[in-house]
Amino acid sequence: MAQDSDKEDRSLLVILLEAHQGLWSQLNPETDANGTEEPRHLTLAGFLQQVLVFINTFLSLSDANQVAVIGMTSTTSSVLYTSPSLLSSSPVANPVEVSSNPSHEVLANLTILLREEERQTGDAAQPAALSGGLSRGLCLINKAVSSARAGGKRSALPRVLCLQGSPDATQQYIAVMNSIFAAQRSEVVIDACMLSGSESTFLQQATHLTGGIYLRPKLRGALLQYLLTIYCGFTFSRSHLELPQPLGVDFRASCFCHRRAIDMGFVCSVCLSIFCENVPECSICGTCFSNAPRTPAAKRKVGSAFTD
Amino acid sequence: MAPKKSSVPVPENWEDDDAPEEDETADLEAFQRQYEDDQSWTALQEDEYGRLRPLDFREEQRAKRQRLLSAAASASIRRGMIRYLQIIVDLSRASSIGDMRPNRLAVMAGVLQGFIRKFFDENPLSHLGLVIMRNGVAERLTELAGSPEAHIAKLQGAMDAGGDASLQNAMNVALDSLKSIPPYGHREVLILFAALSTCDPGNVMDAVKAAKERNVRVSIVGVAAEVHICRVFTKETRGEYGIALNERHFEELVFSHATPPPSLAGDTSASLVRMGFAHRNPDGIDGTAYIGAECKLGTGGFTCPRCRARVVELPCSCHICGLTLVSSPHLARSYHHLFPVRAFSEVPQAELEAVKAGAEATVVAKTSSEDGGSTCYGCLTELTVSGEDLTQDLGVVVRCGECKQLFCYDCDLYIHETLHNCPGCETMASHDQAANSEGQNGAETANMDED
Repeated sequence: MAQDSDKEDRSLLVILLEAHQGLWSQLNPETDANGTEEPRHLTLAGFLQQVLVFINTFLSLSDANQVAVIGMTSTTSSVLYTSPSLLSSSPVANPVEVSSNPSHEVLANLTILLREEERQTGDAAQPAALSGGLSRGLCLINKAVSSARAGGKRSALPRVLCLQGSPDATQQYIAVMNSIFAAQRSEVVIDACMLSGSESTFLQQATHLTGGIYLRPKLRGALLQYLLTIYCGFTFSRSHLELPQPLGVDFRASCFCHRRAIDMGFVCSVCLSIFCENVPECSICGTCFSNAPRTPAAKRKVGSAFTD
Repeated sequence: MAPKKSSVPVPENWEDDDAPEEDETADLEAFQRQYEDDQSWTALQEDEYGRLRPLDFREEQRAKRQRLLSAAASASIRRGMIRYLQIIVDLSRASSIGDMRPNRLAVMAGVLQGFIRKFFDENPLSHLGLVIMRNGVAERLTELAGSPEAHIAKLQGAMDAGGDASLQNAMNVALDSLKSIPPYGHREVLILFAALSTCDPGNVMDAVKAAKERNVRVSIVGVAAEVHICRVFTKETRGEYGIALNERHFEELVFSHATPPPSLAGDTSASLVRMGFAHRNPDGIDGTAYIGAECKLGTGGFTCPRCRARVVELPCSCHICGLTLVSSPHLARSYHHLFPVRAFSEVPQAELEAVKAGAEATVVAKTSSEDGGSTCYGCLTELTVSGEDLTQDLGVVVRCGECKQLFCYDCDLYIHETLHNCPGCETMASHDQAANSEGQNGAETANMDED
């Protein structure tokens, strides 16, 4: 099987599902103005149905395509399903396992995951651990790519698809950025589909830096349409498709002292933390700054006209 | 001062007649005696793909881990994050010797290209310049600048060797360009040295003194043999001196300089640097403007927030007002040096068996068992091997001290070298932070994580 598929385009798709219970009540507020805004609604059952159809479609495009599904909740993440060929390190795959059904496995494991989440925490409003899911996905991809390379084969083209619903967790910033840079280094494309009403800066940056597609669908109920038309195709064929154009990505930083987004700021030369005003001492690393910040412009006194 | 070169083949016909031939046969016999009992092939085995690998590859893995661990242990110290590095490349006659394949010059060029890319990957806010030593003089190839491709292009155009190397001349050129950098920058010189001698116009110790006075850290990687003056240079300026054993070791030595070096508090004056976070301009007709110092009409680019000038790429300093322009990912790229993943500890084989037995006894579905049973938490590989099939053996198994998850050797390397996140801790992190609003790295990170 593996020998024949070397010639064709193969993808290794890692899907990150955010699946904690609090999310679905946030996405579908009880009070609805019209009451019949069906396409904008998305329930857990509907979401899973559509994602499973997407997974099966993706797998049926080529029998060499591989899928791993990782479920993320606020407390844990677990691998819900992996293609059998992905896990078996030996080149000969067991032909019986190949015909396993991803849908059943995803659903069964997801049920276990959700039960466990229920048991562990009463507060389900916490956003899921995107950084944890991304890190696990990248470990899986790294193993698959390196073992394929060791075996002298061309590995499947790796790709990550994040289906996220809750807003960014700011305390994960460094971890998520680390994952993004690791993906960039190992040439993994990160695609993202944001299910909630607000944009996700993390995912926007991830897709921008790794060359993926970011999308926040207007009609969440029709998720399958978006998934099939945008995220199903092979990565190389994207240049031939009319895909949603990326909007501007906000690369502004926010200062560590007031958490304001700033255009211009002061950066500690020791620990690179960002401040919005001239402080005598770095609050992160405790360094005392001996002199006023010097930039070439400040020295020349030319820049004073421009400073605000 | 420095030993005169002896290994360099001298083309002149100073040796003659049959004397060397006898030497040669004597050498050969000595060689045969030395390797007579060395049956190196018995220590090898073939793996499932037909590659040869040593029988006790665990030892090799442990040695590699040891190096990683020491890097992780030293990670909590202060580092010079904003670096100004001058690389001096020895293009003297000694660099055309073929003891490295195809010759030293090609190896140095290849490794240096990789290093330049890696340097900017790890230190996006830093600057780098190239100086070459050839025919007894030093020549400045590129000025201190930020773009890796410009350096590499220049380097490829300058690759021919000849003449002597002059450390003093090269140091003078390097120190001269390091003179005008801002006070918070860390001044560094990295020399790739192939020669065994230096041919200087004056006293080379003056260069050592000057480097020390100006707080320049001089590190040297040699490809031939240890040279006394290089040792003096590195010792006086607290740099590192390494001699490459072979091509791979050379690459390792050079690449180790990509991580920011530790710095003393008194080395440079810490200060707040004013930086601008430039806006990206839209592509297409709306974004058309004259961009950069060359005033090329084009689209895209970035706008300086202070003077509204357009620059081509980040990071750079604005050509109009001189403001350092960066984007937040550039800063984030360096944070892993400051908050590294803790080193994992090795799990003994016996304990691993116990873990496996425990996982089998409590028949829980594989996803719900808290510590992941006996599979690697990252890549789900089975960590214990059934039977005596050595070719399937994965080697060292490690455990994260924080989240108690097990990892295989491959994932351990990937996590510490590339990812800089522990997947187990990250998964637990959001829960912990919900509980007591304090992250894995303590209160500091909670403040830092903002964007």
